[in-house]
Amino acid sequence: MANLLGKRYQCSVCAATVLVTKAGDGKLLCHEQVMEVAQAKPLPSSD
Amino acid sequence: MLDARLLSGGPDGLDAALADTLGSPALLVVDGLRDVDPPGLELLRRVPLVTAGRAPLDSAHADAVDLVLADDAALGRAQVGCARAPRAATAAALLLRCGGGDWWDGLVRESTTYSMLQGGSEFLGWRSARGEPAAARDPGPRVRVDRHGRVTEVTLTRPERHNALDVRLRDELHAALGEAFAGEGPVVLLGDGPSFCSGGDLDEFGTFPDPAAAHLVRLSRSLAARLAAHGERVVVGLHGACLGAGVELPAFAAHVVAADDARLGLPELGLGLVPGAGGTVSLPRRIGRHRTLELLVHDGTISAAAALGWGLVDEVVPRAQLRSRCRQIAESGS
Repeated sequence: MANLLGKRYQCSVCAATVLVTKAGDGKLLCHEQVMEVAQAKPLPSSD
Repeated sequence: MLDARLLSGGPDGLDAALADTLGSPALLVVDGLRDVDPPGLELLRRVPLVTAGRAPLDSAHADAVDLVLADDAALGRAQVGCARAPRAATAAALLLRCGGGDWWDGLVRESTTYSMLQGGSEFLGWRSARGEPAAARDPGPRVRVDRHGRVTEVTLTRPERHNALDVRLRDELHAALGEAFAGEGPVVLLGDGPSFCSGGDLDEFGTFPDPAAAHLVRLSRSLAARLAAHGERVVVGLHGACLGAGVELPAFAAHVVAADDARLGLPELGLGLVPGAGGTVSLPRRIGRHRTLELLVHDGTISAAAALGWGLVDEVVPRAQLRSRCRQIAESGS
């Protein structure tokens, strides 16, 4: 699974966060686990 | 009704004639428009009412008004539509009149007008009649993404609500489109269930924090902006109810295929609003500002065949062939 430019990835063990500035393949690992993409900040409805 | 002769004497005659109107009635039909000369036509551009003339009109005269009325039935629909929400109808006409140009600028203008109306009496009246708004509670993902070779297929997955656009669908679709466009290849957009998208989820309407904040939220998580920026890569398949955002967003796409059961419409006037999903940018590019306003004031929907005639959609296929035809266009480019 590709890592996307501009996305933040977090380690679920130590909360270290990386920001991807160059997209590419491969896995981001921390504490031997694949780092999870941080979800977009929830915004309220605009309607 | 305005006698066109009042336009021949400069702005004072027009001001005197319009002095007693403030928004209602919102529709100003110019009687004898085709005899008005350019200085008179120029005055009409600055009238804060929905202006109309009767067909046939050459392009210079059509350009001077917001609506071109084909017949008495069209006049009737325009009167009913403008009376339903005179301030929203006028705001829509003024917005479309200053249209054209860069799509982002158009989205900023649209959002500004929308937020203005969210603070107005017509929307407030609709909301009071409808009752308390609430966030949607049905669980489950709103969007599914599949890849077939180079093609990314994004499908709306809220069929029991006709893919009504609630906050969750907005956010999931925004993220899915962002990822699709970050990659390569064509993007196909479809909807599960009986309809492509019935527009904004009305149960949620009124949950916006306040009009000023809503303006910024709208521009920060804009589905219209995503599609406007990458529309040349997009094929949309429409079926069933395609209302509000369900017609505004597809209109940004390079290819729009409609199933024969598709019904397209803009219901926002009934809420005291204008289109808020980019429709004042996307529809005029395909069908012009006159037909866009006509669709907005029209109380109802148009068929896939009528939409094809206007250029709002690019082709019509039997319902059963919609998905395969969209894939075919995405894979082969035509």
